[in-house]
Amino acid sequence: MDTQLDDHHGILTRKLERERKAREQAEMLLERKSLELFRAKQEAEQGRQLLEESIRAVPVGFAVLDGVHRIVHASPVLSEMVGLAPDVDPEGFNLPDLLRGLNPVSIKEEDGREGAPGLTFECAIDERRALEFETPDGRFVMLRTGPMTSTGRPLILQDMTRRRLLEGRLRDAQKHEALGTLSGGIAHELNTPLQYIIDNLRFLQDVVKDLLAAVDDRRNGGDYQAVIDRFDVDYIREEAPVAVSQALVGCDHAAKIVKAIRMYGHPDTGTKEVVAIGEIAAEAATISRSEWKTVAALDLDLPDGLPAVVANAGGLRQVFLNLIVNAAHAIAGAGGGADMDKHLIRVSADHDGDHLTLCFDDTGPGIPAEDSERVFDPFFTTKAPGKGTGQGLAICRRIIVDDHGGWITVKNGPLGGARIEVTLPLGGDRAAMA
Amino acid sequence: MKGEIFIGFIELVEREFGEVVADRILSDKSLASGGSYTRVASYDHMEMIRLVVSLAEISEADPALLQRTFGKYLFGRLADWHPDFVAGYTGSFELLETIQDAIHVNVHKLYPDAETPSLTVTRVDSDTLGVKYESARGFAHVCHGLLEGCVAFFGENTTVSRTEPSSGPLEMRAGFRLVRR
Repeated sequence: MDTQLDDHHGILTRKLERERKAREQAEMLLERKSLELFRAKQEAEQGRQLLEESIRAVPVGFAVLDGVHRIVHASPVLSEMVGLAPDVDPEGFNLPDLLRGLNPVSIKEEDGREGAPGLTFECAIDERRALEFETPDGRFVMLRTGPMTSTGRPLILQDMTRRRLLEGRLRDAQKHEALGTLSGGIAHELNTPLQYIIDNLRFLQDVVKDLLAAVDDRRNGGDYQAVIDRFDVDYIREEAPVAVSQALVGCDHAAKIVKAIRMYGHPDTGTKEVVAIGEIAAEAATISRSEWKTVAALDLDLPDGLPAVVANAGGLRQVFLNLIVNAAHAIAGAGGGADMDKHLIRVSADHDGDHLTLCFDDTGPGIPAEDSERVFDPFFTTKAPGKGTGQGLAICRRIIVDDHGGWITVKNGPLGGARIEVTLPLGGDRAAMA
Repeated sequence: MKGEIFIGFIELVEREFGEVVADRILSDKSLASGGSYTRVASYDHMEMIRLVVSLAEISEADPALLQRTFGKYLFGRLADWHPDFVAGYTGSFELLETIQDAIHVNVHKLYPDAETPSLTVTRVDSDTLGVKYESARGFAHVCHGLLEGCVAFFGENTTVSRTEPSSGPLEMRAGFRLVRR
């Protein structure tokens, strides 16, 4: 009995000792874990503060959305951008409600094209698209979202006002640079009708002088027929109206050139209106005449009845001018001037129900396949050093894609040289309809 | 291996074989832990193998059957200790189908040092589930018992059988088939 008790006592003692050791080990572990947890919490808090301060500091609105586009977290910059009062917490707001005070401007797909017709701003909130809005105080903001993650969908709202302004200035600068480059040629073009006008006016000046002398002769008793013969009045009767007509034609020609210069020199406000493509093409042909007339013929193959396009006329003028001048320079660079009868620049147009496509073809050397992707990059040029800034096609792309929701591509054309294809949505983009 | 596996094993030994047997196997001098275990610590899995071998020697029971019995008991205890891991499941199939991608993921969040076995679960048809066990520790028999414990936990009339005969007390790979009746 005593042995049994001793055995039982021994078992209990060993069990107790094992339990005591286990408790000590557990306490030690818990203490270590507690310290680790404390440090981890400190690090997490520091990380949270860093993230929060960084989000506050960057001039970009930031938010996280849940699966139904409700704001889970938003930075103060975002609240300020959407015009929310400082004391209003945006958390819990539906994003479309939060954006209600902004004026929708455009929806752009990943590749820069305009969003599908009928796509609403609410449905367009997706990581593949960028949505542009105008704020009540006249700023432009761009909304982009990231892919849905386990913590929600990140969203950024970026103020594009300054960028738009700078892009506009760059565009104006390029336009003025182009006009400056063309100014010598334009002056020459203007000089031709002026010379024409001057020659005819000089002739008319002599005619007036002769007629007045004839009147004086007759008043002094001169024989009528003798006066007629002496001053060759029949010749005057025949030639004076022709001289007047020719002077007027010269005036019209000069006025057309001046009008084109005025249209190009006018500051671009970005306003969209209904524009006639034929007129824009004719103006570009007039103003660039000095560049192409010695290297190639220019064929404006624009059929009557082309649908009107809602577009920024100033922007399109710049595109037409850049593309025609580029084509002329390409032909000239390949020695086109020496054999100009064989060279041609052709501007043609086609349309379907939704889009108008303009083709700028030339008989120049074309664009090498390896460069076709890069020609629209800023500062890329195939011209000799000092001959081009590499901004022309980059600006054309910005005007067509960013401003009009269209697209512009380059390929080998049917005339053996390059073909630049410009496609514009016929309904205008949302900016025009906003 | 997590301490709670050892705690579960000792609980079962004390309940089924008594405190004398439990004391004998825990007094084995070769145990690095000295036979003291706490749920919150981790121990070398070789200690578990040593404990199973000692118990089989003392009780003269089949080591494979011992492990299977232990596995069945252990599932119930794990469910007691971690009710969140089993909450929301309506049956064994639903739980086992998410064990690798949900439960083991959460186990690793809670215990970053945990080494969970690889379980490949395949739904053969609406009433049949295939489970493939793989682990260098060789506790296929414990897995068999855990599957039986899971079925018992949900009170199901489901059989758990091996897809091929057992090849020994320690198996690194095994296949099981669960059939709902």
